[in-house]
Amino acid sequence: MKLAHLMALPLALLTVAPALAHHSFSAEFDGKKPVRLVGKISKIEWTNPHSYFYLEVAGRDGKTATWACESGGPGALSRRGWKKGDVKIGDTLIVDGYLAKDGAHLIDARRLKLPDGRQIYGGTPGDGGPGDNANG
Amino acid sequence: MNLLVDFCQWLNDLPPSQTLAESEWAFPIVESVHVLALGLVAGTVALVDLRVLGLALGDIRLTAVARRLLPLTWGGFAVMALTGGALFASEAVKLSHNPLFLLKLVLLLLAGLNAWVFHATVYRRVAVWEQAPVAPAQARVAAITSLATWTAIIIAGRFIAYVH
Amino acid sequence: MLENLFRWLGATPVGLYMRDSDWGFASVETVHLLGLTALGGAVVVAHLAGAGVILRQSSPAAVQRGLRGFGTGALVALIVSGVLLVSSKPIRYYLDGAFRIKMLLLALAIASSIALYRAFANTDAPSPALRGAALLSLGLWLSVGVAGRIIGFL
Repeated sequence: MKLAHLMALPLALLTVAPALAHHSFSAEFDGKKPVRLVGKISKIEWTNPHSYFYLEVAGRDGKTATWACESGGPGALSRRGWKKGDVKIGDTLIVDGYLAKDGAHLIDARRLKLPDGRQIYGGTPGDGGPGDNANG
Repeated sequence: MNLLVDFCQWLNDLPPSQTLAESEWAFPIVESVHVLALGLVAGTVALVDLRVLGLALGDIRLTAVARRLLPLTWGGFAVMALTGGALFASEAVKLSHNPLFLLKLVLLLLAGLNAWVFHATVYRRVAVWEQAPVAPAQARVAAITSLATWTAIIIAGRFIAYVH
Repeated sequence: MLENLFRWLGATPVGLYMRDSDWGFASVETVHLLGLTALGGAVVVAHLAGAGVILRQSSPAAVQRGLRGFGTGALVALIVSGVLLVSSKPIRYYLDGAFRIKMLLLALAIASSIALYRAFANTDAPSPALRGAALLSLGLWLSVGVAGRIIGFL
């Protein structure tokens, strides 16, 4: 399934990529397959151990596909200043992340740009993916 | 089969399950208690198994070891069942599709079955063989099976997180 | 200087493997978990026997002697797997507050258990103070486990 919105990597993601330490992140996600998804939120799972944001992403063929963006749990997200009601169904999110290895419509969301312009680090703390540091 | 799916959905939708699923601190704490209680359950079971095999606590009679450690095992099991049940309820629908979780349940049943058979058969006669230098073959097989299944249970439990 | 040691660890062949392997970290972490389970059992039984809570008909020294092999083996497995885990991203752990606290608590727990082992071996009638110390040491070990969980969450 091709992604219409596979864009050039933001510089920030490039500088972070070499710091990949492959913990549970690399068992499931491919650090060499960065991806940017843009779409309207169709479903939100604000849950432990991971939160999921489902985006309707337009493909090159004009058809939309549902993609899941996996992020940290409510505790981790709230420590980054993000509350459950900050995003709603229908909002447009821009998500940078890495593709799941098994071909599923799933990315590990490293950075999310919210409708109000804020950029949030989305990774699960301790998973060793890009941008993961001691303080999640 | 539909009954099972409906049950998992119902369990998932219960307010306490939702609260745990969306909690900031409760879930990590419940999960941590679940992990740390492993020492109480699997750790004590392993010690009894090793005693049967003559590899630990050799100076103490098997019956004494088993009798004194069993309350710890049961207490630990209660903690694991409660925390495990809560964790399961919080993501019941997802877990019901997870092969590693299902494998873990099957292995738990096997561990229970193995323990029950051991206690109902060869352990009934323990007074006869307790003082012997080597335990009967059936007892040793049960001990090794127990060690193997509990190890597999822990591995399966850890790998649940890696399978979607 | 300690930081250089951590940095060196990450640059070893093993450290590079742990950093780059897909399943290396997950596998070693599972070994760490199994070791934690085994040590948990040994520590709980040894310290509760010391405190006079279980296995009262045997001397705590006999119980602790009977657990020494299994307990030491479990601890070695934990330390080796722990070093391997750290080698995958050593500076991240070096800077982690929860990791530092866990290492400090671990050192204290090991020291207290060794001291208790000797004390119990040298007495036929453990004093209430010694029995209390066994419970405190058990608490120390529990806090090591808790600190380990926090490393992964904060």
